[in-house]
Parts: sequence; C-alpha cells; structure tokens
Amino acid sequence: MLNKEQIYHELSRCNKCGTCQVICPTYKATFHEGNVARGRLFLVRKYLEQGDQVLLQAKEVIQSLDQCLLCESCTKVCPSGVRTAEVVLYYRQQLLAAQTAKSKWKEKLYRLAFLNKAFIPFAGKMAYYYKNIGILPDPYQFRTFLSKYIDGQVLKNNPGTGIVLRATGRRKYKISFFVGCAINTFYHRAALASINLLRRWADVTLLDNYCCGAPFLSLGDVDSFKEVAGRNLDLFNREKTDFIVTDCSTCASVLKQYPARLGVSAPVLAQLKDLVEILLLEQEELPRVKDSGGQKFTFHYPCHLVRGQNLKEPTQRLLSNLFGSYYRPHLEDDSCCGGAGTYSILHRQLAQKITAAKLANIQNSGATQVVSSCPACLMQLDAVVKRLSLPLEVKPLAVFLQKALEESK
Amino acid sequence: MPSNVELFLRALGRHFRADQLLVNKQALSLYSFDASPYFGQPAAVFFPESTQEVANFLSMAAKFKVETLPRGAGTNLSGGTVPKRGQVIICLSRMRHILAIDWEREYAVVEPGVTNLELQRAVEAKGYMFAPDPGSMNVATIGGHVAENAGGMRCVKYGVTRDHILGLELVTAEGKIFRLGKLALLDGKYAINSRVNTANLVDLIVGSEGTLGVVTQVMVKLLKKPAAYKTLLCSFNDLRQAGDAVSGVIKAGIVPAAMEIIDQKLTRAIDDFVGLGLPRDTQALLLIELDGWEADLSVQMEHLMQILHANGVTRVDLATDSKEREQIWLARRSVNGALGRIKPYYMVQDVTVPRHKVATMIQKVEEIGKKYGVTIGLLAHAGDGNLHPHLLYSDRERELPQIEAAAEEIFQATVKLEGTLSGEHGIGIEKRPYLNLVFRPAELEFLQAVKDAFDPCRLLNLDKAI
Ligand SMILES: Cc1cc2nc3c(=O)[nH]c(=O)nc-3n(C[C@H](O)[C@H](O)[C@H](O)COP(=O)(O)OP(=O)(O)OC[C@H]3O[C@@H](n4cnc5c(N)ncnc54)[C@H](O)[C@@H]3O)c2cc1C
Ligand code: SF4
Ligand code: SF4
Repeated sequence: MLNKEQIYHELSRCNKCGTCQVICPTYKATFHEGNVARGRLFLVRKYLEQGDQVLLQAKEVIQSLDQCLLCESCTKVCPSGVRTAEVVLYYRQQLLAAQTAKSKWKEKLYRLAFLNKAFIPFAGKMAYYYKNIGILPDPYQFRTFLSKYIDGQVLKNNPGTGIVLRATGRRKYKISFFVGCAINTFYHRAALASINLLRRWADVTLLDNYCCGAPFLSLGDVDSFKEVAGRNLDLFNREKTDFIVTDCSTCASVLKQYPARLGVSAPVLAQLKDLVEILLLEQEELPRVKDSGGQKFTFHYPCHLVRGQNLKEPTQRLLSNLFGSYYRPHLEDDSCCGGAGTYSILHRQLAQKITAAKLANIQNSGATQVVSSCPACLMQLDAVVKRLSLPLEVKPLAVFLQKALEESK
Repeated sequence: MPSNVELFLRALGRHFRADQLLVNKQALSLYSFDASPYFGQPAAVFFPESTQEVANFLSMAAKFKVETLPRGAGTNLSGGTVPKRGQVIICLSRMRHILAIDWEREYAVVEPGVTNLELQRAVEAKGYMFAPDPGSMNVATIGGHVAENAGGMRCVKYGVTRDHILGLELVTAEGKIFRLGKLALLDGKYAINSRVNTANLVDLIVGSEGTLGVVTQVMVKLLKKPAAYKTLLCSFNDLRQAGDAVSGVIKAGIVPAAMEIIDQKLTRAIDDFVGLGLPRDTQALLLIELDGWEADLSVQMEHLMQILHANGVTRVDLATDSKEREQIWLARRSVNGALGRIKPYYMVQDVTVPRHKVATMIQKVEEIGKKYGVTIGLLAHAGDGNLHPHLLYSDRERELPQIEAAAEEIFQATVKLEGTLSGEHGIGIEKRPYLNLVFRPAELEFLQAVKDAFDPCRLLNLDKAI
C-alpha cells in the first residue's frame, strides 16, 4: 500500500494533459471529467492539499472515485506513468476510515462473505432457490448467471481438498490448484476443465484456500485484505508442490501482489502461476488445433492478465499459434469490460454501457465466441450479451480450450 | 433576489434533462482547468446533444445575459477553456457523431466532439486520413482543432487545421445557426456547396478560440494516405546543428512530412516512458519523416543523408517497419505528458520564427534559460519554425516569477526575430497580456469590432484571444 508521500508523488506527476481520456472506459461511457483519471487525481489532490473533510463526504466526489474500475489502463497510456488505481485505493482507504460504523455495511458484508469460505456458495445457493420460488429482486446478474451456473461447486462435488488427482499424461509436475471464489461458485465447469488440462502434465491437488482478497482491496479495507492474504500465505508455505496454479487471472494477479502490498517477502509466490503461464510453458505439448468448431473467436484480455501480470503478448502468441486465423483480435481487446468484481452490481448502468461498447468491438471483429480468463469478465460479458440478445457465446478459456482439443483429436 | 445566473440555471433545469447539467460545486471543480496552468470555477456545465440544443442554450444565455464558453476535450495549453469569470461551460464532448463520409468527393462531416483519433479510425480502412495530427490527437476534439487552428507533426507538408476545413456550422452567442463555407444540406443530405466564392468566414472562425461562436458541425477534407514512409531519428551533438540541418533540408527543396527537434532532457523522459531505446546521450534528436511514393523516397533519402552529414549528424536510425514507426511517433507525441517525470509543472511556449532562424532562436532560448536559472526542455516543430520551449518547475509560488520573466524574454526575442507568439496553441489566457507585442493598437481595435459583430452582447469566452 502506498503511503501519503508516495501518493503525493503520483499525484504531482499528473500534468493534466488529458491523454487518459483515450482509454479510460468510464470516461468513454460518460464523457465526463469526473470519470477519468485526470479528474480523479485532481479530486484526491484537492483532498490531500486542502485536507478538506468535505471531500470525504460529497456525493459527487465519492461517486467519481467509487466508479473507477481500477483497471490501470490509464497508467499504460499516461506519459508520466501515474498510477491512478493506487491513488483511488488510497482515497477509498481514507473514506472507509472516516465513515461511521453505520455506513460500513459494505465492509461488514464483504468480511462476512470473503473471510468465510462457506458464504459465497451459500449465498449463491440461496439466491438460486429464491429465484426458483420467484421472489428474487431484479439484479439481472443473479437472474441470468445463477440459473445457469450454480450447478455445483468444485470443492463439494470433487474428491475434495488435499486429495491428489493423478496426471493423465506424463507427469512432470505437482500442482496445487487455487480455487477462486467466483470460479468456485459460478464457473465450476471451468475449474474442472482447467484441472483436466493441468493433469496432462501434473498431479493436481485442490487447495483449501481463502479468497484472494481482491474485494477487500477494491473497497479500501486494508486490514481485512492483510488478514486474508496472511492466511493464504501460511497455506502456500505448507504446500510442497512445484506450482500453485489458478485459472482466475484476477486471483493470480492479486496473489502476486502480496509481497508489495504486505511489505513482506514471500519466495513461495515464485511458484504461483496463472493457468495461462502453464499453458505457455507446455505450448509445444498442445496439439495444433485445426479449427475451433469452424467458428471464429476472440479473446478478451482481462485487466488482471494484461496490466496485472503483463501476459498479453505471450497469450496472444499462444492463441495465434494454436488457432491461426480462427483467432480474431478485436479493437481495444485489453480494455476493461466493466465487470470489475462487484462493480457490475454496484454501478450497474455504467458497467452495462462499458460492456456494450466492448461487445460492439467484439462483434466488429467477426467473432462469434468470446473467450476470457477471469470469471468477473465472463459474467459481465455474458449478462450483457443476453440482455442485448447478441449472437455471441461467452466461454471460459479452459472450457473453450478443452473442447477444441477434444474436437481436433 | 436570485441572480441572473441562478435564473438562467433554473430555466435550463426546465429545458434539459438532469444529466445534461452539472451544478454541484465539487463536480464543477473538475471543469475548472484544462492542460494549462490556469484555474477558474465555472457556474455550471451543460452537455448539449444537438445543434438545436446549443442554440436554445445560447439564446437563453443571451436573454439572461449570462457569460458562457465552449469546451471540447480540455487539452489546450493556453487556458482557453478556463472560466476565469465564472462562466457557464458548454461541454461538447457528447456531440460525437460522424454524420457523413463522402468517399467520392473526399470529405467527412462530423460533430465537434468527435476526436481526431475517432475520425482517423473511421476513414483509415479505406486508405484515407485527416491530415492535422497534433500531439494530443488521440483525445483532442475536431471542434477544439478548429477553434485553436491546431497544427501537428505533419504540418510542414500538409499545413494546419485551417487548410483542411471545407465548411462549418456555427451557433452565435445569440443562438443563431449559420452554415459557413462549403457545408450545405441538399434534400436532407450533406453536400458540397460549390457556389460559395465570397468572403471566407470559415477562415475567420478557425483559430478564433471559441470567442466568436460555437462550432456544431465541421466539414473536413480527407486525403489519401501516402503509399510509403521513411522515418529517421538523427542524433546531433548540438541543438543548433540540428536547427541548421533543418534549414539545409528546406533549402534543398525537400519537403518532409515532419521535422521535429527534441532535446536531451525530453529524449530521456520519453524514453523512460516508451522504452524504445532512444539514443539517450545525444544532445539533440531530429526526427524526420518523408512520405510519398517509394521510388521518389529513395532519391530524396540520398539528398537528405548528404545534408545530414554536412551538418555533423552523429547517428541515423531508420524505422524498419510500421510498428517501429508507430513507436517513434508515440514517443514524440508523449513529450508533453512525460515531462511530469522531470518536474511536476511546466509552462509550454509556442513561439514561431521564420524557418531559417530556428537555430538562432534555439540559441536564444538556451541563453535565457541559463540567465534565469530555469530548466528548459526544448521541442520544436522545426520544419515550420514552431518552437515549444517547456519551462519546467516544481514549486508554484517560489519559481513562478522566474518562469514568467524568462517567458516574457523569450517572447521578446521571438518578436525581434520577426516571429510570432503562437504557432498553434492559441492565445487563451496565457498570451493575452502580450498581444500588444505583435498587434498594433489599430489592429487590436479591429479585432474588437469583429468580436462585436459576432457577439454584440459580449457573452462568449471573454478575456481570451479576442
Ligand atoms: C500533450 C499535448 C500535446 C499537444 N500537441 C499539440 C500540437 O502538436 N499542436 C497543436 O496545435 N496543439 C497541441 N496541443 C493543444 C491542444 O490539444 C489542441 O489545441 C487541441 O486542438 C484542443 O482540442 P480540445 O478538444 O482539447 O479543445 P479544448 O481545450 O477543449 O478547447 C480549446 C479552445 O477551443 C474552444 N472550443 C472547443 N470546442 C469548440 C467548439 N465546438 N466551438 C467553438 N470553440 C470551441 C474552447 O473555448 C477553447 O478556447 C497539445 C496539447 C497537449 C495536452
Ligand atoms: S494521462 Fe497521465 S498525466 Fe495526462 S492527465 Fe491523465 S493521468 Fe494526468
Ligand atoms: S483505473 Fe481504469 S477506470 Fe480508473 S481512471 Fe484509470 S482507466 Fe479509468
């Protein structure tokens, strides 16, 4: 976490050139200065310079900083490399500290949900039953996803944690599989596909892990983040495998940030890999896929894959090598889809606008399938595809890849 | 008694949707600045979505005698959109449609909030371009280009915005809508009006910095993109040698698309950003781009290399593919932004001298920097004599007096060399006090008469260029 001086150093490098407008998804959905890095930095700077508490109370200021996706696209195009997402996180931290106990419902809810392993699946199930007896209120995400995806959970329907799933091919590694909350709850089939892919080369054990902490981080709840991170690190340190792998790019990116954010050294994290990295490592072992069901597809590069882990170019190469011209890049294919964790629920309208813009680019590429490696992106893309009745299919990377490999056998 | 502004805002509230109007104090502070160092809190911000809305808004403003000013992306460097007088801002960022493209007659009609990049993207697949390419082209609006008569890297060969505007739709401060130049409507479709041959009012509006009216539609020329490029990065041991090389190239009758000089400080700052491996030890970098037909280019290259060597070039790097070329241009466009890596604040100047005096002017700037102890990063569209000395500073209160003194001396030096204060960034707030350096009193009076003709009640973007 950056301290006040470091934040000030970030702020003072912004010289208001406006370049960030070209990429900031929230700006492109509203064309409002409150929704772009330049404006957000200005507000936080004003807060720091004037120490004015009004800036922790005014609805418009809070909204501006609340609506940042933390996607870090602005930092990529910013000639001064200002890390706006860190500045926003700092503000949120101050905001949370200044709030009265009563208004901290979000923090409490998050703690209940993400520090407690059973909660999310439980909440998901409840929502599902609610839906079936017809009294679930509108949030469209729940309506569309839960009915489709709450069909089981990785941890419940499988042999469970700690049990070794033997390699199906020549065993090269031992892998511990980190099960992200959203994957566990909504994309159980993706996790199974990932595990099957990994078993081509490795013995796989399911980890009994905690939430990676991303929701706390984006809320500005540093204490809870540190708590959950500490628990995970303890767990990792006990693992005796070659790699710890997750198929959620957000988890992977946040886990990799632990040392920097906690200010500790954690050599064990050198073993932490995004599923994509293992696929890259074993690229030669993957058969060239002749076609992906004859259908063109495109890949949405999640923020946490591109900017969080710097894995865009290698992933691009992987897809081109495997699929040739069936892989169709789309314009701004690494811009945030608007999912951003709970953002799509808390800022629904804005999120939908951002996603719709993304989907228009996707359709222009001529692809009929969208593949991605982060559950929040997948959910958001899928929800808006359904809402707009677009002729597109949204698929998790592992599911897509497994199917393609099977078909080309 | 409620003030005029309050009454006006109430009337607006009745006329327009709530999301088209910003009145909250904190939110308004976001519109108190642009890319210049000036600030001023607006009374409100209005986001129109059509010409008619602009006209309704302005006629209401005229009725209540409330001052207003137009804003695009807010990237201008001279304070043109800063509401020093607490004006109401008309922000055109949501008027963002490309209304028509005619490939036969090679023009496009766009709303003012369309960015340069959006326009390029709409036409490049068919092999066309809009020639003006300011460093801010990814975000700056076409309305802003028109108002500032923006130039760019390519303007050595292609000219500035003025040379690419065929016609305009303008709403005056009283809310009257005019179509100027070749912009016409025929049976509900856009068409070229080929009968106009009278006084060209378009040229008067281009560069008027939002003081004569609000531009609501722009008819722009489209040009075929060149078939081939040669992009060179040339290193020199001395800024003046680079300046001399530029004069040499022009004298030889070669017309590159662009000739840009970048000094060492700036080279290093942008290299930190782009990581291109620019020659960091060179004192001066001269970026030259030739474009046209492949065969012509090789002949020009030969001459060009001779000239460069005659002026002591120490190293020449040629972009080998389109990706490298794009990287080089990205580097060049990032200069202003990357300055934050050296010092947090800067005042950028825009002085322009006759092309053969570029080397002399560079020397002057260096001397002035030394005299006042001011760090100056130098960037120049050398091909058209336009210099951008960036006066860098860290402490607003302490250093600003030296900065201002140095700035004034640079202006005076420019005028002595028969140059002018603004090549492309406009007058705005920044250069207004210096207008009398370049205009005679009678000329200034005449400008005021022009202002009166367009804006008799004196309500639109006052105390700026005109
Ligand atoms: C990094 C950087 C690089 C730059 N490089 C260049 C360069 O190479 N060449 C160059 O010429 N400039 C350059 N500029 C300056 C600036 O970007 C240009 O002048 C640009 O055209 C301004 O467009 P805008 O949409 O941001 O206009 P704004 O800044 O919003 O407005 C500029 C002026 O135009 C008026 N205006 C805006 N829209 C309208 C309208 N629809 N009708 C009437 N008046 C209007 C405003 O009142 C104001 O006076 C640069 C700026 C930056 C930050
Ligand atoms: S691009 Fe960077 S320096 Fe420019 S306005 Fe945005 S954050 Fe500030
Ligand atoms: S992190 Fe993303 S949403 Fe936030 S300001 Fe930057 S580009 Fe915009």
